[in-house]
Amino acid sequence: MKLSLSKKIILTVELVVILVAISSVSTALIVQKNTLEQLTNAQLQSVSVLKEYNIKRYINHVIEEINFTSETPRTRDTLVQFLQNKNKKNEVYTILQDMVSERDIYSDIFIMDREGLITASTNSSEEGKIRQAESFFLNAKEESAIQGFYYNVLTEKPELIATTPIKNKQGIFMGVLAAKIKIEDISNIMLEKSGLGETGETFIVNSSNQVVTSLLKEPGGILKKTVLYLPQVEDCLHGNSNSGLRTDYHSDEVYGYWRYLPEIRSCLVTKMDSSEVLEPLQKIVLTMLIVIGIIILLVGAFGYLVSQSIINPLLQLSVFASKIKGGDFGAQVNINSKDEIGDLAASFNVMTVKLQELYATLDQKVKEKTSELSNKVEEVEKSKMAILNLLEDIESEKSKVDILVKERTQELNLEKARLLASINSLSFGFVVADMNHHILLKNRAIVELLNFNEKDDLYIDNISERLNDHFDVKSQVEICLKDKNVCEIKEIGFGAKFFRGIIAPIIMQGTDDTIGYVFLLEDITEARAIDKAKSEFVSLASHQLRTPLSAINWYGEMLLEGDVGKLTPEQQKFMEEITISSKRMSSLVGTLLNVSRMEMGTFPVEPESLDLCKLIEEEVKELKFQLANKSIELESDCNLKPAITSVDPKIISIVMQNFLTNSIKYTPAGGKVVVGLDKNDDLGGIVLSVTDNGHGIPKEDQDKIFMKMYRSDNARALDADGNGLGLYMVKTILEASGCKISLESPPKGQKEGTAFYVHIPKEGMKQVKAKKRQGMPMS
Amino acid sequence: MFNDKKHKVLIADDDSLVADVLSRKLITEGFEVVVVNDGQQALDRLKKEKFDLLLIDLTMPDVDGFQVLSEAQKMDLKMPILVMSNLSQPEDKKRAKDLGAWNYIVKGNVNTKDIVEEVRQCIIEHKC
Repeated sequence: MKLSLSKKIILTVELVVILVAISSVSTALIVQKNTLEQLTNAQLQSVSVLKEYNIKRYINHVIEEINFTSETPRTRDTLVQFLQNKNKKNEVYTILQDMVSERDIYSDIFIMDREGLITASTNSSEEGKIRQAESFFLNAKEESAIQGFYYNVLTEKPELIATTPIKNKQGIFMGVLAAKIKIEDISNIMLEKSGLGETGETFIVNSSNQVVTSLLKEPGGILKKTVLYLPQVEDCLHGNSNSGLRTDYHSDEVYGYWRYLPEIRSCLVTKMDSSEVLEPLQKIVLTMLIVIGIIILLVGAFGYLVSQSIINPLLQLSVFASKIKGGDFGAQVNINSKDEIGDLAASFNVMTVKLQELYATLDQKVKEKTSELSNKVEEVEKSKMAILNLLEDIESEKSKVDILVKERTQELNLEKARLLASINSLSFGFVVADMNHHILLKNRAIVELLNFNEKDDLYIDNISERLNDHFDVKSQVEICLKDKNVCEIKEIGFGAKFFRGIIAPIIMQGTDDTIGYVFLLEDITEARAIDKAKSEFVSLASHQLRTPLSAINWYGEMLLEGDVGKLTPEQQKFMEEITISSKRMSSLVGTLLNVSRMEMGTFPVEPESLDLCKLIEEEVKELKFQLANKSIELESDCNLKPAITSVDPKIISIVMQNFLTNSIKYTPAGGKVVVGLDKNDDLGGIVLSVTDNGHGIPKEDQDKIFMKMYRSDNARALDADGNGLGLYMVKTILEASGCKISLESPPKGQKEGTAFYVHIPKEGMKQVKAKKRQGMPMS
Repeated sequence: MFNDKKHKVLIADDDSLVADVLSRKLITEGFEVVVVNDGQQALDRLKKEKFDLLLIDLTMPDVDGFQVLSEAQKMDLKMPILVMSNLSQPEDKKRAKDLGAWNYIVKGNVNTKDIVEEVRQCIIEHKC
């Protein structure tokens, strides 16, 4: 809120005045209230004292009256005689009646004998009652006394009893004269206001907390039932007079004084309503408010005048300042007051003159600086143009590059799309992963092969998990990538299916670092089933062939032996040819059976600890005749004697038979075959070698020579009857038993010939149990 | 070593040609030969007659060689049995030997002379 200066001044002054007025009025009121309270208290106490005095005086008067009656000699004698002899009863009644009628202060008068028996009373119904235990009897034995207020149950009115002892001339106690005193007199004493105002009152509460005199706020005078248990009354009845602001029987706030009257064991209550006591305060407040209002008005008016005298010159100064701001340095302000504002105005006038002079020189300086600045700006402009030209060149280069990048990106995207389409069309599962096994690329087939959902995120761990304990991709990858070779995992079981896995490292060109790998998964279930069926067929066929072949062989043998008569030389020759062919067929059947067993996994490897030298010598011996027939020299070169190792003799026999028959076949007459046994210096274990100096194997055929049914062209030319199964079988058996096979043609240090090597590991051959055979053929 | 008494051999083979050639060979070599073509016939003959040797094939219809071996073991014949089969798997050999076969010949690997030698050797060792 925006306020003018004059309003601010007036409001400030008014605020101060109001605050001062409020604080002074509050202080005055508190002081006034305290004063009123003190005055009231003093007044209540003095009224209380006065009332007590009046009550005491009245009581003394009553006691004196009764004393006077009892001590009058004639009356005393009559009473003593009556108490002694029970005579003069009529006189006694007369005395009692006179007392009631003469003194208007008694309601009843009665006489008790020494035992407290009421013997005469103005109320005849009282006669004959014994009041022996009553305090008014007991207290009256010695001297005159007054008993506290109590309620008469018959009249339901409060009463006081004054008593005096009746004594004979000798001063002997004869009985008691008792008078019930009317309470109205005391009530009247209480009802006197004595300057206590409209609400002021005094009343008495007896020791039973009963109000025994009239109450101002309870119409109908004394109320028998009014029993007060207010704290101030309780306190008073315990003998402690007290005063202050309290709540009365009517729940009004009152200033009071509660005074204990020991003579009648009662509390004298003197009180006045606080509203009446504090009434003068309201008047004072009203008066003060009027006075404050007037002061505020006066202060406002005065404040306005003062503010005007300050603000007018300030307004002039403001107009003057606006002129200066607008460049009017010739302006002057005209304030002649002899105060601070006047001084300020004079200073402003001097300042404008100085500014006028300064401005004149400043203009010239600004012109000079502006000219300098324009030169600089021109230079900057030139530099800016040069930079812009450069930027333009860069921009044009950049757009060329952008176009190139766009083209390349498109090409790459096309290439990528083609690649993705091709890998997606692959029938085998395809995954490319980095060295942290994060899959970078995958195809649909891997998802389908492993029964994933197309939406599933694929991780190498998921794949391993799917392949369960059969195959852990990560550990296999680690093995394969160590040598940077392509690994083939021939068989991975997956439920009823079989997979073939291939792991190939991805090698960064130039650095030779392996940056990831490709994992291929091929479903070979069907191929495997076909293969197995084929093997089973071969096995079955071979078995069936064996029996008739045996029969042919054996009949042939018998004919050749002459068991059924001598043959002609021509018959003998024919029969020999038949027998040789038949035996070759038997041998082929044996080989086929072994091959099919290996493929079906029913070929067991059963290693036993044997001397390899001896085994080989036995094998060599069996073929000695054939070697000699072809004039081939054989050298058995066992450098390890004994060469004890763990091998399966039947495998050694198959291997040696194949190697040696091959050597015999493909080495011309006069050649040499060397069988050797040496330590493997590089890997440990034993190397078995069969070296010949025969025709050798052409280089281009060397990596195919171990394939099933493969025969090199020169082998075909030299031996048309070979079946191409021998080396395949040897390699398969040896690898199954943990051995390795290799060849060298020509062997080191020779011009021609072939050397076959079998590397038996130092722990020997690995045991392989044959799988359970199914559906073996009947012979 | 080998007395003049003709030793009596029972040949059991479902392949009649094999049975025939073996019986001819053994007869030539001085044996008395009886041929049957299945296991049941072999058992029947064994119950009726006494033989010095049983030369038996394993794969035969109905009652095969293994069953004959098993039954013969129960009969306590005190007669050697020579098995001659085209089954060459070690477990077959083991099973036959466990059932009391004296030796096991794989058909494809032997000639008739070898068989005659085996038969002779077997009878000698049993001192028949």
